[in-house]
Amino acid sequence: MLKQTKLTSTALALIVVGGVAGCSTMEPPKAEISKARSYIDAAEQDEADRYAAIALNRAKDRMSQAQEAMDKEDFEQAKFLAEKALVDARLASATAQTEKMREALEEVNSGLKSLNSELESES
Amino acid sequence: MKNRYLIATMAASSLLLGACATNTPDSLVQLRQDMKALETSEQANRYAPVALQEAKDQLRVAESAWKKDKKPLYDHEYYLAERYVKIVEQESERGLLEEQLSMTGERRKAMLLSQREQELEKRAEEIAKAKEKAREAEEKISMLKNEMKNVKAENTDRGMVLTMSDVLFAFNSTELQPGGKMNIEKLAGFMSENSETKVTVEGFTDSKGSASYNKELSRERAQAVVNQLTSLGISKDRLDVKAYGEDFPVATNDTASGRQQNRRVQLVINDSEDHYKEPKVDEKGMQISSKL
Repeated sequence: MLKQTKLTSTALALIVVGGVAGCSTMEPPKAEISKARSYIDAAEQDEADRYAAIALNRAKDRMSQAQEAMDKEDFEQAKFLAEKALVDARLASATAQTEKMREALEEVNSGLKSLNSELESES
Repeated sequence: MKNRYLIATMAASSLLLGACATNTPDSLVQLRQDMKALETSEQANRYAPVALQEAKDQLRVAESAWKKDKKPLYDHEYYLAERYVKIVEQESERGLLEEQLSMTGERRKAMLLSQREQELEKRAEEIAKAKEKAREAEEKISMLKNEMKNVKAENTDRGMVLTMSDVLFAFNSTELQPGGKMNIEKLAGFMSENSETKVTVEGFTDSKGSASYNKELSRERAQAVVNQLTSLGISKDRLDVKAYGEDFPVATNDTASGRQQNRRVQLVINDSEDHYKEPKVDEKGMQISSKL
């Protein structure tokens, strides 16, 4: 009975070591991090700080968390965070572009409206 | 031994069954519905096809993570899928707005075009009205002409021109003969009935005598007509005098009948909006009457 317990704990230890080893042997997610960073840059180009500040800030926060995880060599966490940062940045870009388009359309529409009333008052 | 395998198998299968039996989270159910809506949305397919495919793929990844019962992985993949769905929504909204923006150019054009059409219509109406007015004026003037004696009427680009022959004046005099006076009375009647008309009285002579004498004579004859018109109540503002002397002959000065034609008074009748235009001459120095 005692022998069996010892065996089990050894096996367990092996599994745990194997699991930890599995984590530490994972490659650093450099590609994910650099991709996420370039999407954040793109979002800033799209003026997401003006039009989608929340999504952009979330992306940036996750990016710095991902960097911290990289420093701690927690690569799985770093990969997750970078992937989340990427989609947050893409959403920030898409939202900013939509809002800018909405603004442009509203501007043109109000221009058309005043043109219309101008034409109507002329005729 | 056999028993232990059985128990293990049963345990494993119950675990699997448990996974299946566990209710799908509301969030995933919701996301599936959103995804289905986007997949059938024409707008999403047209404006965000790439993001739509990415969202579909990511939802599949999340679903399989859920089936494998890997909770932290599922949470992560679900988050990504949910973001992709939002990205698709934003991009398809943007596409629609962009299309609307591109159509505003057309709307603007259509607006201006209809404005131009309206303007053209208005102008056509104005032209028709002006023509009608001109026709009415012509009618009235031809009636006037019929009432006058020894008068020739011509509709020219300068307006209606009534030419009063020299026989209406006493020889070498500015005095109007009775026939001339009667004509002026008719003209005065016409002018008071048609308050928008103006008359420029042009005096002409033949080439006998000095040019300065002729100019003087032509002025006095024209002035005599104007004086009579004002004495009949026509405002001076509607009358003008032009003395042309022997200029602008209408016939040769070499014959008596030619000279008689040249001695004349012309009454140029204009609308209040029209401006008086001087007579013109051709290459022989004769007055051109460009008829309309």
